[in-house]
Amino acid sequence: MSMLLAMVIVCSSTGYEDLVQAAELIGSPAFRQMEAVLPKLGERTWLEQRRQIVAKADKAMALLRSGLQKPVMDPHPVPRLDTPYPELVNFRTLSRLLCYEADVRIADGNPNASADAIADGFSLASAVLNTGGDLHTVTAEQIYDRTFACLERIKWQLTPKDLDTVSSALKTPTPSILITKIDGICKGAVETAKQIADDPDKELAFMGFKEADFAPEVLATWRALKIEDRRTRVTEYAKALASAEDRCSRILSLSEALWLESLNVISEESGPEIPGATNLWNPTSIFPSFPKLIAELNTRIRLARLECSVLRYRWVTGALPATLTQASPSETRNPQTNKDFNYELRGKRYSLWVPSFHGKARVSMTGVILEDG
Amino acid sequence: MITLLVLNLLLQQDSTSQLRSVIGTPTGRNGYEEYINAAIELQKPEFEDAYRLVLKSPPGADTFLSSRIKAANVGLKAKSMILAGNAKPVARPGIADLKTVFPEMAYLRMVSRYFAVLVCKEFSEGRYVEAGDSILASLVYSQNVSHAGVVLNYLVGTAGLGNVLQSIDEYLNLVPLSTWKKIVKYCDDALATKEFVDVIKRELAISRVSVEQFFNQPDLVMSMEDMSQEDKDLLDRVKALTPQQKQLMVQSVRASMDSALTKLQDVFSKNESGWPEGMAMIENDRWQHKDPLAYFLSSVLEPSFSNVAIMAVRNRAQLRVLRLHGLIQSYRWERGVLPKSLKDLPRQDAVTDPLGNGEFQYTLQGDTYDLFSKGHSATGPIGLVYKRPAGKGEDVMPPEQSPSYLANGLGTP
Repeated sequence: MSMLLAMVIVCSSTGYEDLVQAAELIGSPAFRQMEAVLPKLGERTWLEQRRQIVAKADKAMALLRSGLQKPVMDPHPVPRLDTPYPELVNFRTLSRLLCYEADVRIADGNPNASADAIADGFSLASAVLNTGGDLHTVTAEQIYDRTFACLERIKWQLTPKDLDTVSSALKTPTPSILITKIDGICKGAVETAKQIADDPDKELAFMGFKEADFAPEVLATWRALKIEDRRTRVTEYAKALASAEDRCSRILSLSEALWLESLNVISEESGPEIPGATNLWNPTSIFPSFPKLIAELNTRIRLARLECSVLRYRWVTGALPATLTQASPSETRNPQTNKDFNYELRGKRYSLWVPSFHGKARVSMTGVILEDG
Repeated sequence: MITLLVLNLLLQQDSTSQLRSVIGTPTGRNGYEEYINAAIELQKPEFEDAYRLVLKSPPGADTFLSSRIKAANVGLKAKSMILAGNAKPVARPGIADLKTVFPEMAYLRMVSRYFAVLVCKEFSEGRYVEAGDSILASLVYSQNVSHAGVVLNYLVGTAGLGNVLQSIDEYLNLVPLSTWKKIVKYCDDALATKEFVDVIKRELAISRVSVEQFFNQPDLVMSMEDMSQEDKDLLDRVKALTPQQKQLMVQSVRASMDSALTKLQDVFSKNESGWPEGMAMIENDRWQHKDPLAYFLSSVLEPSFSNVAIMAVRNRAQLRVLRLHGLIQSYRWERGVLPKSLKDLPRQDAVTDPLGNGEFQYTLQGDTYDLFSKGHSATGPIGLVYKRPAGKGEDVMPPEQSPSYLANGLGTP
């Protein structure tokens, strides 16, 4: 078993195992070197070298696709704060490979394969988002970013069937995923706290913390406590965390429009801390940032689905729709603002966006903030 | 032009019989026979019904794509016929003299239109390589039709080229890299030859034969619907001529045609930007005829040199624009971005625009671009899709001198 596989608790019959194996295949130094020297946009061998790297990665791509066909579950039942996720870096590489593949296939006149690669990119992002904790979420966002950019680049070249393929892979994360994720993070924090309570020096060292990271008096206070007292404080910490989690879950069960405002209230409250170790991470600090991130992803996913509808309409009728309603009667309203998505037709081009959260700029599918005007 | 004159003589037959009469006895070696078979295929009522729906489904209609898919499916046999035809030498059979009729022209134009719907279907189904092959087949077809016979062929082929280029313009970003490479190669080959000169020569050769025929059967020309009273009076004169007078007249007109043939070789050996004026000068030579009847015959029987030259330079400019699109799009596929300027392209020979006496005009606009030739004063700017500006593309230059008989109302140049 390879290093990477050995570090992940392999859980048979879950797609995560296949994804990790795929990640392992493209994690070799030789492969990394090959990707490191890939030509940039505009260079003469841009396509050719992408073609070569895609050909080299065919086994990894097959494993990735096999994994995406299965349920993908985090193999760590209760991840700790220091649980390593070495595979996440390679998941990002896999998403880049999918984009290379999309570019190569479309240049070869095979838009179906190109759309499949983009759809796989979105499925990979979704799978990563639906597993693990904050690291997975950040990784998923990066995979989404890359795949949205790829879709933006070749969206005009996709056929109606391809647009349907891509659209069906664009699934907005549900609040239950967020709740599960927050629950996992809280459990991980409590688990870590328990370990630190039992043996603070060993655990902190294992997590890579140095004494200098803490105020000496804080660490001294913590060390001076009896183990029973430390455990009691951790139990109190777990209760407080569960209470915050409960409030957060109730907010997330509300409509999306109410998420952000409500979660900001939680972030303004001081969350529970591991007593005596105040510099240790407080999971409630991410309660508002997660829904913000997911809310923005939801918007971009909805915009991407609308892009597919608009371009599909163009194929069917030979012209871009005059209004969004023509292209997608049921998806024109942004549930976060209860206003219609903005669509502007300009000759043979169009713009599709929403005002940014502060209302002074525009957010498109690619997340690019466009200047006003 | 004689071919236009005889269009009025189309027999009152059904279209399929008319088309079959073009082939006569098939040889199996002439691609034109396959083209006619394709045209016959597209005369079937099922295709006509399907194409009628295409015409009723312009961009914006709910049935835009579905109508095109249906028409493309119904006429699918025509594609294989065109491919078979493209693989053989192509020559319009049976062109002999003034009496030759060309019933196939409108139907050959329909073949080009069919390819437009076929390409739409193939692209919409994600079969981009096949769609690219169809584009290329349509390009070869239109050029083959252009060069298969006389000027009328050239007109129809040019119209077909317009259909192909319109399709390419619509699906510019979808055409795959492999197709662009083939298109660039095809344009290179096509631009290396001047087959349209052979078309003009062929037309002149038939005109040469037809001069004598005209004197024997002047009523053929009399059947022109738009003939003026003065022209009819002139033709009455023909009937009154003695055989010796007729022979002298034939010699005079033929000498004029021979002179035109020599001069046009010289014109086409020079830079393209000078072709329309050079050809107009050859037309001016008709005014050297001292006899109004000789002038009349030259103007009726010879091709409209300047218009053919304008069409030729336009076609060549469009092929150059197409080749340049091919190089730009290949650059985009291979490097992931459009070139910032034409200087970035690997083939600088393709950047020069002999008609516009400079470089092609390229403007990058985000993820799209504009590309055109500045064109000629007679054409205006020429892009992949050509729209003739008002007042352009007809007469190249006014006559510098007019024979006195024009002022007297004899003949209509």
